[in-house]
Amino acid sequence: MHKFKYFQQRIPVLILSMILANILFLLGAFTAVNGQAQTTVTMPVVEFVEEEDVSLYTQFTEYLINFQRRANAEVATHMKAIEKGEDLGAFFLGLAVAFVYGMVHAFGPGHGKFIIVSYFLGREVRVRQGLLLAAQMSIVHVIAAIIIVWLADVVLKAGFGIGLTEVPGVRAGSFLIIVGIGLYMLYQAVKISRNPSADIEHGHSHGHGHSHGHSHSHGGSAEGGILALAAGMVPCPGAVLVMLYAVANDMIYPGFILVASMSVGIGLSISVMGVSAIIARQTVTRILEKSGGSNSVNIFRSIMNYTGAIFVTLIGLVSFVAFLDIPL
Amino acid sequence: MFNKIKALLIVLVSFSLIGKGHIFANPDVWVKAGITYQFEEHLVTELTYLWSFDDYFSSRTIQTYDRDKNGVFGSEELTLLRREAFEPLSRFNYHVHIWVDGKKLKNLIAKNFDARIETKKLIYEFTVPLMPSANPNDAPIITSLYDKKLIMDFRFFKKNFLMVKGMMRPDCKFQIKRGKGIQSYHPQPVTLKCGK
Repeated sequence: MHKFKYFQQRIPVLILSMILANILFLLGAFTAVNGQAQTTVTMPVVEFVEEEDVSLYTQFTEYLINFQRRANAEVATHMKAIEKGEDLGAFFLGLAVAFVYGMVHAFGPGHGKFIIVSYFLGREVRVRQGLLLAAQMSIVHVIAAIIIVWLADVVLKAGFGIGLTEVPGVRAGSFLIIVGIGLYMLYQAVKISRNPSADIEHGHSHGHGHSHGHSHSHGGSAEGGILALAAGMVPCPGAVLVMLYAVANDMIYPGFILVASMSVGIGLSISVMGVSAIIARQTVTRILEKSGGSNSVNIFRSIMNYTGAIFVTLIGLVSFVAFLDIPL
Repeated sequence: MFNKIKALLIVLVSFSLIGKGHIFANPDVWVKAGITYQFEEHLVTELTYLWSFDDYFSSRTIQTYDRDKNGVFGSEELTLLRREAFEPLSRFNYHVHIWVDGKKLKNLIAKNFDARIETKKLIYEFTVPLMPSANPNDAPIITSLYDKKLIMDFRFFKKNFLMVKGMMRPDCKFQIKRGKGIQSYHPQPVTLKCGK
């Protein structure tokens, strides 16, 4: 009885304790939820600020990058369509996309443009020869991509653990050949400047009753061929990746066709650069000839011979040093 | 005369293109990216990056490293991938650029690297700690993904590319705006500012 009375007296205390415990529990739960919210991932608003003073060049660059991103994805789509044997439209559209992609892609760094331009500034050649050299380079580009992929697929898979597009000998060989061509051009330039009446390759016979030599150097077809080989033998990594994708997905035939189309596009862009250099040299030479100074023509030719030779040599050397990763 | 002018114009255009080659991008690897800012006590402690590669690079890498062709990178495969394909990027700070109060952070490290395959696409995920943690209330934090060699092109996902983990002050704002000077080459630098 006494015990009952004791409990009866403490009921309000117990109720109060329970209420307090509940409040504490709820508070704890709230804090826990709140704490959890702090670690929850949220997506904030991001403001995109359009620039007002964007140069045309930057806009153009952005446009080309975006175009390449889309075209790059499109090539894969069309490759699949060609493989599935979809209509001719898909085939030709795929070819066109790959071609334009190659053309735009080649305007970026690499792809031997600078070598070709330097070479043609240092050599007196016709536009036809420039186009021929660019075509040779394109063909070498395609063959190189296929060989590299074949090496990657067949030889390197055997377990050498070498990066697919980084077969060392190819890059090193290419750069050394370019250095060799540059040095040969330099040798010719020195020879001509020592003996201005000598024509390294051959004498000209003009149709106005006499024949004479010129103090300029023509690139022989063999020399041009070697240059095309050297500049083209390092395949475009993009083309290699496309070809690898084709091999990995059993789409070798459409892969080959599209890489070939891409390489023709690359070749066309390089041709534009090369032909521009040829026309530039021809134009300046003609202007100097018309102004009546054969001496100034010879000086100009000599300067261009040296410039072209030095640039080709330097490009090869710098690329080789970069390849070896020697800190300068 | 017209022909000569035309020729000279072609030459000028060609040379200007060659001369500006360093900023005239022709990437070979295309990456879509996302970024997560980790906040602790209103400080940014680390940034987690998510990279999704294009079809070609994904195909090549998956073919090389998913040796058992089960669509998942096992422990050994992941170790090899990390060593051969990811770690070499440390030379370029993983193409991550961070400026705190205008000063560029150097020698960034990457931790918690993970790679996986999602719908035939190669995905990288890794975290770059900020040492010391940066307070966006004191000075803006600018982050950017950019490959100086232009081999890789980075663009954010169209949606949900930026996330925040942890407590961020409500007055913090994210902005994407091309910077000035050296930052002008970076396509999508993100500026985080807090306060007024």
